[in-house]
Amino acid sequence: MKKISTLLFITQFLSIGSYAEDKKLEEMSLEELMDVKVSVASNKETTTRNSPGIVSLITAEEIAHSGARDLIDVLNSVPGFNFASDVEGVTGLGFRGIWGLEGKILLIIDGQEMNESLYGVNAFGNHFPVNLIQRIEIIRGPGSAIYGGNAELAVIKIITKNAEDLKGASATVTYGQTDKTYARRNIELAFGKVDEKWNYSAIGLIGQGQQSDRNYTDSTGNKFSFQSNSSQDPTFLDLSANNGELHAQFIYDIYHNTERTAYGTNLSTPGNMNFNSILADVNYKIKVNSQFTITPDLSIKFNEPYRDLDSQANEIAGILFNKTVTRSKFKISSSYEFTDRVNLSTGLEGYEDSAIDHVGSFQNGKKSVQYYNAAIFSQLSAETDLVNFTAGARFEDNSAFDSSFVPRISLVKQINSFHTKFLYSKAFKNPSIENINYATNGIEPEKTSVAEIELGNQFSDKLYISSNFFKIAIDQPIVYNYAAGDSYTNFGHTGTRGFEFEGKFKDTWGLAQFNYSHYQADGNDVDAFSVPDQANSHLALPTHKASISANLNLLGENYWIDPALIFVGTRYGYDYNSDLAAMAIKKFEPVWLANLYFEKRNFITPKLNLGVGVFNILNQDLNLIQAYNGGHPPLPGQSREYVLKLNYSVNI
Amino acid sequence: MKSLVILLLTSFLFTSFSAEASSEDAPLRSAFTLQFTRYIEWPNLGEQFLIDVIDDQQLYDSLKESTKDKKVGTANISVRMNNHEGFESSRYSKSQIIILAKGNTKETKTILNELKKLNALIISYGDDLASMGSIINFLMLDNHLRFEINQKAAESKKLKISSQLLKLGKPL
Repeated sequence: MKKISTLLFITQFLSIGSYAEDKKLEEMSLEELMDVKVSVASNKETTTRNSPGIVSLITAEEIAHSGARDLIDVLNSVPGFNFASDVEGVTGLGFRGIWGLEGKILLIIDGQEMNESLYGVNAFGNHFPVNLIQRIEIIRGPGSAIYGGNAELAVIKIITKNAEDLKGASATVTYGQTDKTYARRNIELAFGKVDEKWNYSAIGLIGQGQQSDRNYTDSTGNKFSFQSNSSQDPTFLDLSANNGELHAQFIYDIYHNTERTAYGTNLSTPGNMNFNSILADVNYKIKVNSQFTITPDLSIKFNEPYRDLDSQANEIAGILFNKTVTRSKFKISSSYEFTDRVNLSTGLEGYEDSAIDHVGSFQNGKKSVQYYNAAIFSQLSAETDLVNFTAGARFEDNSAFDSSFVPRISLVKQINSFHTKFLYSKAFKNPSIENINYATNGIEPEKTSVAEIELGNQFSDKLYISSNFFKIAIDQPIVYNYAAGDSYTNFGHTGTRGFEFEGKFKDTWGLAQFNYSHYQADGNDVDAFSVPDQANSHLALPTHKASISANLNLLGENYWIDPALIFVGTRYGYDYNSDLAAMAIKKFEPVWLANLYFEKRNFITPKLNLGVGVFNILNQDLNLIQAYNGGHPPLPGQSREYVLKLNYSVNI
Repeated sequence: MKSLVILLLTSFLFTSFSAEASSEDAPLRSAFTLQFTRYIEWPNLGEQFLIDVIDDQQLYDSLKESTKDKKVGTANISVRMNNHEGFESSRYSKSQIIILAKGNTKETKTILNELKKLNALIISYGDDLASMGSIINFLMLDNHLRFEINQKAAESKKLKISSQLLKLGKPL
């Protein structure tokens, strides 16, 4: 035990076997062969090319080479994703020009849906253990037909390192420093063991961060520094155990924020705001025969978002907040292989949401509310000589609002190195508990249609290029209106259209990647999202974004140099205007984020890895603009940050 | 904007279709394959140990090179290159090992289905292939080559896999 606890305090990294160059492969033992590192040119592309969706895959290696500080760094390099702000200093995601904070983009960690159940929110910024991610699978498009009412725009699936990946203990220390203060100081620990019957792993993150060290001006012109007023302190624990087909998962996620910006007019002193979540899940895969499997799954999720019980929260109505919600869910899914080319997946799902207001009551005067949801979904996949075909649908019914039926269809054709995909999906966003609570005149699900075409070509084993075109149309979007008394309404129509382009070039020197994404507002009649005199843009989200990065392995096997440049195009948002002494629309000029990260593996000892880097070298302000007209000025972005990472792993 | 879209479209439509990307790990898979021969008990081994490679020229080249003057027991190793077009399972009736090219394509699945009836060690490389009839399936995990073993399929072909190999492989 003492040995293990000692190991947990030593830093780590991925175990990278090295070619024993003086020894021929055929002379190596099996164990030695398993330590040989392989250069992979097309594995990822092969997987993504055949998927019935537009998919991005990000590996642990790519994350490690880039030195990504948190998920924001990772997602900033993915086409279509941009960050913006909500109220109370919360950072959220937009995708393809549509603000997705409240339950429109589903985040899954190790099979658990992380969107909290009260609003559907995921708060980003020094939150999740990015160094313990094994891979990220991103469906850049709707996933409602499979995943339901929080997967309207996109699905981000994070798979952390499991017992098999770890087979030992590891630790990662990250320290980030700006010119004025620390930006983050995190420790990530992991332990995994495989024995004859059980595989079990534990990963965790504990740390402190600060969103920015720049000054913030509130909606009345008052200023304060974000230094010491914008903490983002994570405590994250993820436990996993497997025995054959039995799988159990437990996640404990306490995300502490310093809250001072409130709804735009700042609080006199900073207060504490937490997003607390506890999730548990157990499932068992029953193999009826070689063709048929059934998986019952029981899960429970407890959320306590926007928790603020500090006394100064009484200064502004609505900030003092303590509501909890528990979702108890049972799902049973099955997979049947008719032939090796035809598969049918079907599932049933039911859950109860039970919410309690601990400091007040819901709008119906009650201290607690309960809602019930049932869903059935099915998907048929068939490979034919003509085309690979996937068709599926989900029907969902809730006790508080109308039902939704969302079919999807995809046709994927690969001809040698070329592939094309035609995708059409209906999707939906279920009203959250607070949407129902604050509805002005009843509330119904958003109904969305998305059409996508992807074209891709593996020009050689070194060069891969793909591009896609999309059109998103959302009917009855659920719109938040703080000015009208904290209310939610289904309002008209919104949508976007655009395209995304990706290119990857891999050679003996490493990997270079380029992507570009563009959207135009399409049919938006929601004033809260629109930009006056700029019909093609939505608030906060740039119509153009580009990223170019490289993992360069020029100085020897254990040295990696990673330059990256991210271009965020012109954005529009509401900000405090000192001439008018009021909030007014403002054009924010393009921002260039330049990063440089250097990684030395096998530093001093074979298991120690060192990383140093500078992020936002040009010290530009990629501020976080509120993505709707809600009276909240932009949150300042992080300034130039110097980062040090140390990683150590030990096999047990 | 429109011209950019047109440019992108035409760049795809008028490009010449090149062959599927070849793997860069053929020498490693070749070395693994050679090791596998040592951890499996081969029934009815004659004078020749035949390894058939389908659609993977690089692997064939590596195996040809690395098996020179090598033996399995007393049998000389012979390596043969094959193409999936006009596939006939009877061609492989004397093979000890049959190796499929990387990828989970419809051709792979068709061939796997045909090969099920033969008593050879079938090695594949792609998602879910071990459950479709191959005995050893390579996987790329974190830039390292790993393999999963379908022990049940091996037993059905009377191939006895050593516990050491089973320990290193991922059980299906």
